[in-house]
Amino acid sequence: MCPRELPRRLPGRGYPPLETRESIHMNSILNTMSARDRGFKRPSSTGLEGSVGIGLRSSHSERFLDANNLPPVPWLEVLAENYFGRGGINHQMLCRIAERYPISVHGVALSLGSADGIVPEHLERLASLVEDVQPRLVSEHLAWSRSGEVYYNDLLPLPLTEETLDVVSANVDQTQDRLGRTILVENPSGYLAFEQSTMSEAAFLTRLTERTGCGLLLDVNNLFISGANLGIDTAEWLSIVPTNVVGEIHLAGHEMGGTPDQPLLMDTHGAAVTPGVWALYIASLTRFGLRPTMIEWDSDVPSLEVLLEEASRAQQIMAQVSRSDPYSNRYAG
Amino acid sequence: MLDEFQRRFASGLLIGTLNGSAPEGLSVDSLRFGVYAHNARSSLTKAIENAFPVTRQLVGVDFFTAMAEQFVATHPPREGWLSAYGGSFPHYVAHYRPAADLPYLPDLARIEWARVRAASAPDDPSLDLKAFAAVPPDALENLPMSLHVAASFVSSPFPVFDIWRAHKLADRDKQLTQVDLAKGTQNVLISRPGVLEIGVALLGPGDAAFLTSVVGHLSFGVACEAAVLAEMGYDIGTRLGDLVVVRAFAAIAKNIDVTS
Repeated sequence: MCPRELPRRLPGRGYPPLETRESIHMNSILNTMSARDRGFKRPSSTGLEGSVGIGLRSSHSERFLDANNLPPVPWLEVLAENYFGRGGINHQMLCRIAERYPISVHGVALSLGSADGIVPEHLERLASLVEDVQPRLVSEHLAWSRSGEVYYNDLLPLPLTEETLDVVSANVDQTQDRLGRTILVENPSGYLAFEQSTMSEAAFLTRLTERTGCGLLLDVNNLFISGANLGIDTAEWLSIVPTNVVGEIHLAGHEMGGTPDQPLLMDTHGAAVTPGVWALYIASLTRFGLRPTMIEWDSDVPSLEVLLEEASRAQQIMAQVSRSDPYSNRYAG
Repeated sequence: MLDEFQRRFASGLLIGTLNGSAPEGLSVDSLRFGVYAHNARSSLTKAIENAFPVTRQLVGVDFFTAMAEQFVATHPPREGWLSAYGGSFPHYVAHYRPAADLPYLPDLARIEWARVRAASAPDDPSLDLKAFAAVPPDALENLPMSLHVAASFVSSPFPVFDIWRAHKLADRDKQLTQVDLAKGTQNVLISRPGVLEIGVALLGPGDAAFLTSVVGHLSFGVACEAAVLAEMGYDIGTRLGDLVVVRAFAAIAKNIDVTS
């Protein structure tokens, strides 16, 4: 539990104020959800449309506690499991940071793809974090990371079958029911495709949103990697997924790996965004509108300034897309 | 079907050579399977490195990595949050044969794990001296005491506090001071004295005896006796105050709270 009631968020400095108007886009997402009428309390808007946040990393945490010199970023995303201690130093720092910045909570180990279901203790800790920081967005992955009692700390791939869709849908339902809100599910970076798969990733994710009312987190870097490694047609992916289900976009870097005979793109989250990913980002914004975007850099974390520079570049691209495409501009609010 | 697939897939993630073939019954490319196996192993090994930086510094990167990789393969995490991962590593180190000639290594690792725990433990209330002072004298003798959930007590036959501190200082000064192993026993308290602070303190024999009793769930009276026996002229009032300041103790349990 956070030590005291969170005061109103203070406006930061040096970045455009968050829009509070209701967004046309969010209403369309909410209309989709109403088909299922899950009875969740619906936020009128995340308030993050058209803005670019960064991932909060422990090496930068203290910079966000200096009230006289707050880094200019409109929102922050945190890795949920880093704050599962039900207290302690990390948790205390996050509570303080959440007083000043809107937060997005991004889980990595709920294991939505596990055939033996969600671990109640894990979901409870996620729920108590969500209760504490009142995030604007909550997201997880189309992946599994646990089998039996063991956690593998990696986002493992799923055969995309009807059975898997049943499993993931049930796990997403359970999560959303416990949290009392919808979550976004992220497309993972792929290294393996399975012969037993009966549908494309885009089709699978689209059906998942139809069945559970969840939204999607489009990781443009992951899509780019899966395009290169698995031969997914990224343009087709963008055209299959309905525009109203994407609630957030991730940007990150990758590196070359594999062997000379079989090159693979490796999702390291430890490098600058590449030109190919920027290009796919423009296509994504053009297709889905000015979705809240986040710079994700998890390993070999550089200085905060480097992250802010990447965020500012994404913000400029957003502005360009918004100017050049009146259609996507409609979603800017 | 999916359940069976996941068990097969998982069986090859942490065990076996990285360049080997994918698990039996899984028709996938070995190189591509190896990416997942590599990610799982390296991220978990990294988690152990992050939790035990001084132990790693002491034995060297290659030795530590080999030890951590074997630990990961044999003791994978049972919780999905990494702040909980590594609690059994000090015990593993104690039985790791290649490290047998470094008998103080497990206690050093215990200090490091205690710091991880201190950082992430819940914000439970700690012992309040006012509440303590309000306990009637006749109840004090049998008052059960316990360590705060963020606090740990490490008692070692080796000068493990000096070893830990020498390596921490070496980070800053780029020079490792010599530690005299003949110095013998050291007792260390790891706790969270402030909201954003972890403390590692060397204790005298009286404090150590007191905390040994507390860890053993003995009463305040017994702990005091042990402390006075262990250290001539042990001043219970002052020492207790110092230990309370660094939040060594849990708050007095509600059912024996006689202040109301």
